[in-house]
Formats: sequence, C-alpha cells, structure tokens
Amino acid sequence: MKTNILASLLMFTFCSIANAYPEFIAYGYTTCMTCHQNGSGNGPLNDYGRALWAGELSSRIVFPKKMTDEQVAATSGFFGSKELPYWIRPHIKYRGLNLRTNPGSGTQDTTKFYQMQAEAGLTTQADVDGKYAAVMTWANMSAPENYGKGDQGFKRMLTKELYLRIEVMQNTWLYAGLMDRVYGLRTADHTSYQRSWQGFNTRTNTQDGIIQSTGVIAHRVEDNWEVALNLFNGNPHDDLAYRQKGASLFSEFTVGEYKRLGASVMSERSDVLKKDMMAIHYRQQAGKGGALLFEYGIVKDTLTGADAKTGSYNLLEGFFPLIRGYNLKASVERYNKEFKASEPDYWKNSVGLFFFPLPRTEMRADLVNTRNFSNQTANEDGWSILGQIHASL
Amino acid sequence: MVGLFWGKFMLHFKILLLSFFVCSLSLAAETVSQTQSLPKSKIDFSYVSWSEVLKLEDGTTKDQATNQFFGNALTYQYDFSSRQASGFLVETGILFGKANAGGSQAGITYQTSNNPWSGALLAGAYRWNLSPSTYLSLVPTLLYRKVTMQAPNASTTQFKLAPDINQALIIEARALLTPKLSFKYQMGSLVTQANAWWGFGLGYAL
Repeated sequence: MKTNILASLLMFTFCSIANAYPEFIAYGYTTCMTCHQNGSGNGPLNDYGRALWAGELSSRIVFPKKMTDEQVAATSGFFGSKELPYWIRPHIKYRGLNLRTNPGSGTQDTTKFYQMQAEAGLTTQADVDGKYAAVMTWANMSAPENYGKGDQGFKRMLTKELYLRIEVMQNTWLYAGLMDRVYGLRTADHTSYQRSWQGFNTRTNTQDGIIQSTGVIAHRVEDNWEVALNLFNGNPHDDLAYRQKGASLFSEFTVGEYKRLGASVMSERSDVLKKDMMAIHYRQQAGKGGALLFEYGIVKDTLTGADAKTGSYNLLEGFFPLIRGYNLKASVERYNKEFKASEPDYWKNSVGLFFFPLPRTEMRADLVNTRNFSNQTANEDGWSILGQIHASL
Repeated sequence: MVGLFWGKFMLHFKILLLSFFVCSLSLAAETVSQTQSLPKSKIDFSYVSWSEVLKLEDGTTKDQATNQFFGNALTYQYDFSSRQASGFLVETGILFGKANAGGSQAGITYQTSNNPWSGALLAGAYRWNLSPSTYLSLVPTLLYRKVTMQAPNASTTQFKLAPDINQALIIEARALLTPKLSFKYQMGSLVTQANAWWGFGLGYAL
C-alpha cells in the first residue's frame, strides 16, 4: 500500500501545468502559433484557435444541423458572436480535477477535488495584424502550504503572464516579460511524468521554480521548421533562492506530411538546484483526427550540497478519434530518477476519454495504473480515476 | 551490479531504438489516406507487463506478495473481416521477459528479482473501425507462461504461483501510422490470481 501512496504522490504532488495540444497535428496543425497568442503554446487562444475549437474540434450536438461549421465558429468570441474591437481580447479559464485514488481499497480509497487552474486576463494589440501585442493573465497560484489539500479556492490571484509580443520580421517573433519557459512537447496532461519531472510547476517556492519566468524568447516559425530560444531569469513570485535562471532551446522540423521531429535543451540554476535537460520528440498524424506522440528526455538534477543525479523519462501517447468531439487517449510514461539499477522505473499507463462536448468546454475521464519496477522490491499497482473539466471563455 | 546497470542501459537504448524505428519507417512510407485500412495479416512487436499475486506460506503464517512481469511479445494477427468493415480476428504469439516478486508483506518476507519467464498467447478478438485508420478491439486472451522463481531463503517457506495458464480480457486501440505500420496500445486484466495487463508496440503488415 505504501507504493500506492507513493505512486499517488508522484503523480500529483509534482503536478505541473501544460495547456497546449500537440495532439492536434491529428487535424493537420503542426505549430502552436496557429491557435495560441504565445507561439510556443500555453496561455490564451487567438481568434483562430477559438474558432477552431468551436468549428472543428467540438461536438456539434447543441447546434442545429443546418448551421455550418463556419457559423458555429463565428460564435466563438468572448461574448459569442458579438465581435469585439480588434485591440482587445479578454479570456477566462478554469480547470478542476476530481481525483479518486486506490478505488475499492477501503481506507486508502480517497477522493479529492483540485482547483487546478483559475485565471483571467486579456490580450491587447496595437494593430489589426497583431504585430505588436501584450498578454496579461492573472491566475490562482496556491501557497506552498495549501497545495494538494484540494481547498485552494481562488485566494491567491497572482500575475501568471505579462509579456509583449512583437513580430520583428516576417515569421519571427520576439517576446519579453513573464511567460512560460520553452521546452519539449506541451501536452494537455497536467499530471504527466514528462512535465512533472521536467520541473515545470505552478506552485511557488519549489526547487524547480514556477514554469513561468521573466525573460525573452526569439521564435521563428517557417512552413517546415521552427526554433525558439529562451533566456530566463526566474519568477518574481518565487523567493530569490528558488528563481531558476538559464536558457532553453526548442526546435522542430517537418520530416514528412504531418510528421514532426524535434529536440529541446535547457540549462538552469538557482540557489537550491542546478538542472540540465535534453529531449527528443516525434509526433505525427495517424489518419484524420488520430495522432502519435513520443518524447524521450534526460534530466540531470544537482541539489546544492548533493551529488548530481541523472535520470530519464519517456512519453508515448496515442490519440484515437471516436466521433466528432470525442477521442480516446492512451498514454504510457516511464520515469527513472537515476541511471542506477537500484533506482525504480516508475511506469504510468492511462487510458480514457478526452472530449469537447461543447465549444469552450473540454472534459476528461481517465483510468490510471502505476507500476514500479525495481530489483529492490515489487509492490502492488496503484490505481486512480480522474475526472477533469476545462472551461474557457 | 554491472549486469543490472547494463540491463537498465539496454532498456533505455531499446526505447530510443524503437522511437527511431517508428520515425524511419514512417518517413519511408507514404502517408495514410482516408481510404486505406488495416491489412489482413500483420506481425506485432510489443512491450507487455502484468502483475500476479504470489501466495506465501511457512506452515503457520499465510501471506502474499506481488509478482510483476515485464517483457516483450512477438505475435501474429490475422483479420477475417473485409478490410473496410469491423469484424473478427485471431492472434497468437510468444512472450518472454523477467519478473520481480516481493512487496511489503506483513508476515513473511520474500524478495527476488529478474526471474526469467517465457510463454505464449492465443486470442480471438472483435475489432471496431473507429475511422479508416483507427481501430478498437476487445481481445479475450488465453495466456500461458512459465516462470523460474528463486526459492525463499527459509526452508519452511513455500510459495504458490498463479496458474501457468490464465485468461485475460484486453482492450486494444490501434492507429495506422503508414499503410504498413501501426501503433497499438493495450490495457486489460488477467482473471485468476492476477492484476492489470498493459502493453504497447508496433505492428507491421505482411
């Protein structure tokens, strides 16, 4: 049973946030720039992203058949079909997670509800084409002493994003301010080992620091490749000792029709942790609406005063369309904290529904199995059932 | 110790190799179109794992441990249905790998690792076409496996393995990456004295 608890802790104590959908290469969209204000993913959607969600990804169950996809897409603005001036785009997002761990195990069977994400903000742009834009988001960030208690509420609204975006030349953007660090595939799985062990947290004062950091990003997106360089200086909401300073590089290339191969590196330092990572990833469309994602990464952590530990992780995800708006998502993840025989391999398998029943709404229901392989011990599997809702205005 | 480290290194190497294999085959082949579908015969190579209950007894005390199996499966699958329709298929193949046993037993302590096992499976399945390139199958499976376990240190302690022949019910999702190559994911459970089964791998159309 200890393992079950450990597995649960591993899954959720290091819960990270990641709001992009590399799976949507399934629909032919290869770059985050298509849908997000931040071309590296995460954060508010642009007008095209909103329209795409409503007009292509979501179920049409609430719309009459005579209404075209274009007409549905036209209702995707913040106030529905009422068009706002080009220079202002508000956004509100909410994510809640209901987590049941060790179902059917008696006293170990627990259920908690997590307020994962509650945020509001706006994007303003100085010109119609959006060459000059500013993005601001305020989000609930639980205090370290409250994290994981399931009762965080909306008590601590802090600045999550505050940056300027300038298209300095054709296909090249410069970002400056507080924003997500650039690295690897940004999947929609908030509890993935992949994101957790990369150390991209939403909590303040963890050794890895918050995923958002002040800095600059230079991003070039061409038809068949993109590259983003990020220099960062830590998050001002973290105490000085936890602010991670460093650099990261993300690149991705088209290697076939709807097939992308990429790599990332990151090196960062704070007073408590020195972290170096590198990863390769691959994603491809598997028929219309289906996708396969793969990432393999190496993480080297050196805590101050301790020996360096180098481990690895991998993520393999299959995305299978059922009917419009409804998908089956299956993923296999593995993490090993150190390249040592005695260090367990943590495996996590999840399978579930990933669906968009309405425009602006995403829901998920997952069954998760965790299993650890070690030459030191063998323990019972851990099981969890997750239900998640995401609403985005 | 060196051997174990080497084993771990090889696991990572195999994962990398698998990824490059996917990439290279995907790149070499044409993209799946809406009209292509699953070929009738294919070979799958996959990584599989399941967990069994190992019963322990030392004369007066009864306890149980977890026996974790992990390894590879090489299987052949034949589809009876027409290419465009849902229908029945059969699968057979061999499996091999290692098993770790142990846990946090209250009464009897037993811990052993890297016990070799091998086996075979026979399955019938019904496949639904979700789209021209994605499929979902319900796979009742008959699994035979033989494992060589180390005996407990205490001469009085005995263990009782789950039966060598077990049944499993598995759900399999498959997506075509190219007309020849497919990715599969499995999750399910064994029936007798055992727990969850999962697997993932690649299929190659013959």
